[in-house]
Amino acid sequence: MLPEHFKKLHMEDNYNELLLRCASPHRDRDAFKQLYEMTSPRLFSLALGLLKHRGLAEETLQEAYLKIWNSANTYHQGKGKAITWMATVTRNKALDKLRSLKARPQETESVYEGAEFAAADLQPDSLITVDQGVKSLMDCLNELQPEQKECILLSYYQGYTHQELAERLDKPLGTVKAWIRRGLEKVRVCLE
Amino acid sequence: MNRYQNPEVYDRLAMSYVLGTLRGRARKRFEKLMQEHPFLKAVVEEKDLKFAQLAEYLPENKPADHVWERIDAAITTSQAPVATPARWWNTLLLPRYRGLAAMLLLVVLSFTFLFKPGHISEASAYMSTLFSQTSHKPVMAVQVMKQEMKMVIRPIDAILLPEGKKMVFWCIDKDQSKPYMNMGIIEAHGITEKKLEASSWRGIVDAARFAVSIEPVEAVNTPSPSGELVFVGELVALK
Repeated sequence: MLPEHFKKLHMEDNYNELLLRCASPHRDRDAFKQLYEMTSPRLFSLALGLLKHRGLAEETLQEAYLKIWNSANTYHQGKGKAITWMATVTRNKALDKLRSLKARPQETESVYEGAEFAAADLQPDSLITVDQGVKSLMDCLNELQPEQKECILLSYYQGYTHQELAERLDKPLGTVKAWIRRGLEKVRVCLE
Repeated sequence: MNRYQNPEVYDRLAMSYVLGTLRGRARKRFEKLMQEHPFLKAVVEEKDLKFAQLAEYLPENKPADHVWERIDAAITTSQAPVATPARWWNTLLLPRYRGLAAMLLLVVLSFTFLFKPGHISEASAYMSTLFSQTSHKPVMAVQVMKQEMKMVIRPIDAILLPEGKKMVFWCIDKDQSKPYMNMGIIEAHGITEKKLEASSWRGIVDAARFAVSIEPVEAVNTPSPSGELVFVGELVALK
């Protein structure tokens, strides 16, 4: 059975079209609202995973969508799919916020634990509707050892440092660093 | 830089940078190199987009409704986008613009029949229609009356402001070298009436334009606008 979040990938064409309408000379605000309604739950999840604080994640989401609106005319398909570009904007805003704080905020929100939602092996049948670029990346991640993949996904989704990962996974720092280094090297070669 | 000319090295560093595992001094060093070598920046952007595809796998978590309300309000005030290409004078036919239409008509009639060149300084009433500087639509009407020593500002529609912001009203002198006169904050959702002091009245008599800027709540007493003037209108002497 196709997971719910994969079904949403059918919407990708809509995202591109809506974003282009936002960038049109008439600045279509209805399109922007629709785009927000369709994409904000996932981008909020991304910000919340990194910041672990609902208020900060909301603030970040607001800044990200204002940037998306103001920069919509700079988006083109060479920058990847609309949702990918929007995720980049949101993640960078969240990372900026995270780095501007002296300490990682107190966890006020129970967010997804680990990255199991993305870590399950993907079977070819379930990838029929998935974009080729996403499929290549997931194929490469699926080739990693489970601990390498987990560290990479946790770094990406939750912004953990090597030290934080070592504490969370209860493994020596050197081991975690090696997992990430070797994992990234395998992904790099695989994506080539 | 020799080390970074090796594609394997910079590719790996770019991936670590994007993933966030490149930290501290190494991260800063890499950022400096990115500024000096555009190709490194391009590699990072490519990796960034590659990894951003992972966002598609995230579980959904709906943000609170007020997030959209704030985004929408910020766009309204900062950009005032034109949603339709309709001419603003067509909107005068809409019921909500009838008051404004009547006022504009009054302005035109008064200007035509009552205005006497050289008598501006003797006028005892002024009117102005302020237009959005981005959409060029009328957004508020202003009346100033000497007899009551009062200024009345009527927004045509409610104006949405970002949280923590207020609209500040400005009087701009004909002599552009003179500083703007801060007339205080005005309401976004209804009529603002201001009692005028003699000094404020003199400022209005010498004014060429009225304008509105958006200011942080804590800085509404600023001596000059901190940002762009969002609404501007010419003063017309009535009598």
